[in-house]
Amino acid sequence: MLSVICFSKDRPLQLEAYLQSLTWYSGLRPSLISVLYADSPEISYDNLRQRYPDVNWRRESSFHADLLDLVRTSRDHILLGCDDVFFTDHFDANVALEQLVNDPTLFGFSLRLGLNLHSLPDITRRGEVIVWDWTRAAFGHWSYPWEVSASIYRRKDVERYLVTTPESTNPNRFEAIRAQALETSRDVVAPRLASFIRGKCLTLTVNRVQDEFPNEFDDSRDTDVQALYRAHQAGRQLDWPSFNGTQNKVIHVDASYFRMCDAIAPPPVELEDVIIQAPAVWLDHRQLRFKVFFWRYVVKLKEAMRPHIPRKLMRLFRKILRMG
Amino acid sequence: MNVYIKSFNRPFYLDRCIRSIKFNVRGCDRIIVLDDGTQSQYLRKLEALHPDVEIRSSGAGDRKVEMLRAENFAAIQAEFPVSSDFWTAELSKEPDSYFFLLEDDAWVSQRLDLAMVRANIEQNSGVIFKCWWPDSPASPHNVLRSLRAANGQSVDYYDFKAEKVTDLYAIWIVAFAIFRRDYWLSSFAGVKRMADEHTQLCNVQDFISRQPQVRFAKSAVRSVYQGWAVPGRSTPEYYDKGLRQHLYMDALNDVWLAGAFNVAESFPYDFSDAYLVSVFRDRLPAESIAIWQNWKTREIRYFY
Repeated sequence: MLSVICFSKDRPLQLEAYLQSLTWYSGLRPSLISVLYADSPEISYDNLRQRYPDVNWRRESSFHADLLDLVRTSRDHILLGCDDVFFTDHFDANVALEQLVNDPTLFGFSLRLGLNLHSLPDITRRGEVIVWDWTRAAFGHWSYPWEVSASIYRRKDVERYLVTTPESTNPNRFEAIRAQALETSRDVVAPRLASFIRGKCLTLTVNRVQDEFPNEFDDSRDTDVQALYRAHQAGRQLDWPSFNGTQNKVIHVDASYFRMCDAIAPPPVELEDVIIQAPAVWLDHRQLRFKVFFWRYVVKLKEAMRPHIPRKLMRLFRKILRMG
Repeated sequence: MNVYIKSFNRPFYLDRCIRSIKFNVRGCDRIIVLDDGTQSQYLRKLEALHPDVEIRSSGAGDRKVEMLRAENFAAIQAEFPVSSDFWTAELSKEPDSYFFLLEDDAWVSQRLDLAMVRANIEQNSGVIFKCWWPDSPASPHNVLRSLRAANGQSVDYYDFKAEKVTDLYAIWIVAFAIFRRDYWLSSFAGVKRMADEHTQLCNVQDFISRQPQVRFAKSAVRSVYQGWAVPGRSTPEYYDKGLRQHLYMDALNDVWLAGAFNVAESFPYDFSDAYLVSVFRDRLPAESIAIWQNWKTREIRYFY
């Protein structure tokens, strides 16, 4: 089964969108989700903690030790996540688990990649899933197997890596150290990745909460963490339902994907109803009734005799029946 | 909708079953275990692990398992003659007109939205929504109408061809389905033994001839898996083949009780043979393991 570990720093508004959209689109219960969060003195997660009491909240004291503890108490597979992600489409996590249980050549299952993105590598389709060899993929995200924003990995594998890298002291390092090790072949993992046909989430790059890794973000609107915190405290929410089913071409989206609202109305679940054929008249009740009448008495007789037939004789009957 | 689980002394499977419901099922009001003889030490641990689950007992206590260990089938039959009476008595108390019925050695392997399924089958006079059926090249289900929700939930209405009584398996199964209560209860009328499925099929025929307007549905693909770590029934048939059910149950149950059993191993598939053999190896003679492997290879492949 699956546990979710989501990293958050100073982004209650975005984290709430992560929690709401994940539980809505995946059906996963909040009790499966752990949030490892860090907060500045002026930003509090108390409101969120009260609103989502079933989530396992862990305030960061030592990132590495806290994460290792969460990983060790997780189920066999872990969805790693970040608060700047929100989900845009339904998915069944069991599909990812089936792939990872069945196929040891898979390293992970991405929820952010899919055929909707640019620069596709050579893809193999397996029903609603696509698979590719990340070691041979030429471009960006397709050749980047280890990422901590929206991918599912085997718990054992995450734990094995984490115990050997005490220098993983924040989520960015946790990702970058292994990404570099894989790029230079210092770490060797299974050669393939899988995802759904369509990506299930977006990474909203409208602010940055650390300066060690200068990831680009769109600061064209008033979306720094303090401004969003004030808005959240005033009751505003990230309007993730308005991006239901978005056909994004890139993973990291800019401020044009940033919308706020006063209340969340989850998108309706669309229903397709297809009539395939008219009912056939196959049931001959009269004939069947006669057979049922016959069988009733045969079965009654058999059941009445059953306790009186010696076990050895029953064994012989069964042998004869099997031979027949 | 309430979810009922029939159980008998396989807590390692029951634990997996309950976890799968919590993981995959939405719209579940209560999980109720109808237990017919799980040993009390295991029930205590289950209650501690799942305090939100209600366990109702048939009153068999520990005695049924003790008799099984002694291979005293005549005594079991004499003292606990009709387990189906217990199931029907409990299910007839169910206040809702629909319930989801599982057995302890099964688990939900896909997302299942009970509220959505229930609303749809109720509207369409559905009496059964099958979540499992045996793998067979000739499907008995002739799909007439197909509903697909964006959240992955599917409801397929089907017709079937019935020339002989066993063809009625197309619209009947003892569990692993959402049932309309009157359909399930009427099919068990007069059934004195769970394995007596012929009487159940005859009852089904009576029911549908009385109520020809009822409809039958299933999920598009199987959404419940049934496991075969140990034989499903405690009957002399298995023991006559050397397959002594209690040996395998005891080995797995004890490892589970000690907290050393991974109930989610290989989920959503069944426990891998390699994992089970690794448990058996420390606890059972090689001959018993060989018999078990032979049974798995020769008889269980039919189902998957």
